[in-house]
Amino acid sequence: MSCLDGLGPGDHVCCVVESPSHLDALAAQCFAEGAANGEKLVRCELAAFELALDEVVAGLVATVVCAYHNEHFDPPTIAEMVSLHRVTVGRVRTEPGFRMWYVSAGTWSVSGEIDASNAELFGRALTNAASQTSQLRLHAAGLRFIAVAGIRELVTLARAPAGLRLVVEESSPAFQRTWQLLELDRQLPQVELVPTSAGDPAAQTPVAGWDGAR
Amino acid sequence: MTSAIAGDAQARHQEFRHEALLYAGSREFLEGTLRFLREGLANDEPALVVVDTSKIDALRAALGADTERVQFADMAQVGRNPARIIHRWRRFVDDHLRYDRPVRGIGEPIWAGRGPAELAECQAHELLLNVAFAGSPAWSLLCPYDIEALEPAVVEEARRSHPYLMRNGTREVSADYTIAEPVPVQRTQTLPPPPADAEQIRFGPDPQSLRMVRELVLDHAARAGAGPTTMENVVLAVNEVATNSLVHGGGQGTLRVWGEGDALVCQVDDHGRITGQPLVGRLAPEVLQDGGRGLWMVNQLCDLVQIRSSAAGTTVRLRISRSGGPASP
Repeated sequence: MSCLDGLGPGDHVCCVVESPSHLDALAAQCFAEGAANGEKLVRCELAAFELALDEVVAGLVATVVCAYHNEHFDPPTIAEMVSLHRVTVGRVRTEPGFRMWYVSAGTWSVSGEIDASNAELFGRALTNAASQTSQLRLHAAGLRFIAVAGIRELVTLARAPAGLRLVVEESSPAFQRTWQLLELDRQLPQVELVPTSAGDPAAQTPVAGWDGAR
Repeated sequence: MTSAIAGDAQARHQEFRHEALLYAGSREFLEGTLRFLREGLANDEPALVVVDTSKIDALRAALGADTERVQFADMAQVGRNPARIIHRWRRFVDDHLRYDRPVRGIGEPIWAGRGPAELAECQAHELLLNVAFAGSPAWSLLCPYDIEALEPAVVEEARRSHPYLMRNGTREVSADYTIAEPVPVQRTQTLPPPPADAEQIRFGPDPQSLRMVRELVLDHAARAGAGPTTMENVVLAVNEVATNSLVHGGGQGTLRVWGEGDALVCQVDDHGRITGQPLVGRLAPEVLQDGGRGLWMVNQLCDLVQIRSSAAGTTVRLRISRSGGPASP
């Protein structure tokens, strides 16, 4: 889809818009293009249920664009919403630093960098993702950096709901070293870190696409 | 010194006994350490010896068949960062100490080749052993000091940091020992200033500031030719120290980065003050604990960590070898 680069059916896009007319213009372009290709497009604007929506959208052969007006939401809220979409378009004023998105039942991908500035957001996304499953698989191929603050969120999650198993796939050598140096491999047997392997279909990368506001 | 303490020293010890073995030459080293080991072996006490590899070889040869009953570790590895040594002893004691069966250790963290920065941290480590194992059940740690090779001031400091001294087979209470100041005095000593051409940035509460900190460190490490593991380690370590400045050190700080020979040196200054917590970063964190993981990580990742704190603020200087060496848990 040319109006939203890097986008295809089954995607769930965060679109940060500057004005209603900006959204209308973008939507009209998307719908026209989608209709020409015989694709289904759904237009909605919402603040909550993003993670649940991600799961639903992946099951539909549809593209969902979630619009967040820069004037209607404060920067931290927009940052949190941006973090929950693999694909972002528009001018993001507060970059959350990481992305976490749904791959398949019980499986999520995380990318970017997690430190003390965004660990709380990461923790909330983890809690939401874990709420529906007894085993959470987290693909971390795109996770370039995770600080102790981010590790602490994983520890909190692993300890909180009884019986949750957490598998971190595609974990980097630095991630694994941090985990071992904190002796968490001995203390949290319910968490498994699987090292990087080649050719994983879930190892998609986030897309920062069209930026119509510039 | 009181007669009661002297009496305890003669009796079978009931608690942690930290003593310096003052030796001149390899013959005195072997005599003193073998006597200590054989006393323990006679009681079937587990023993761990952490000294340099040539001394390990000499002890193994002298122990003969008893070598199998003693564990050895290379101090160059275990004590590469002296702040990691206490954890090694803690684990050995926890794994082997049983009721009515003490354990023994020999540890030589200080040798003539230690540079001044390392030496200061080793001396802090020796003092902190008394804090770490105060009230701990019976185990004995013998710390050999080569009085021929070491500066007299270093031997004087050993008399202050060890409650007991061994010389030529005689144990005495150290009259100079003081536990009145458990926080190492080194923490208030100032460090030599960073070079004027050190790269520096200020960082603050902006959400992007930690990323800026990491980028500066990564950039410097890459230009200095550090390998990928070293780059990851130094970035992880500096990120944790800068995070401490944001959370505990007044919400902002200054990072300076420079090279010193083979080492990358990173220093973070802030306006916070560390009070108490003499063992911060030296004991393995428990899964239930909230904080305290950052400095533990930093100690595992770096070759030397110097923490200085006063009313004027806190300085944490990290040193990590460019050519690297694996950080081991």
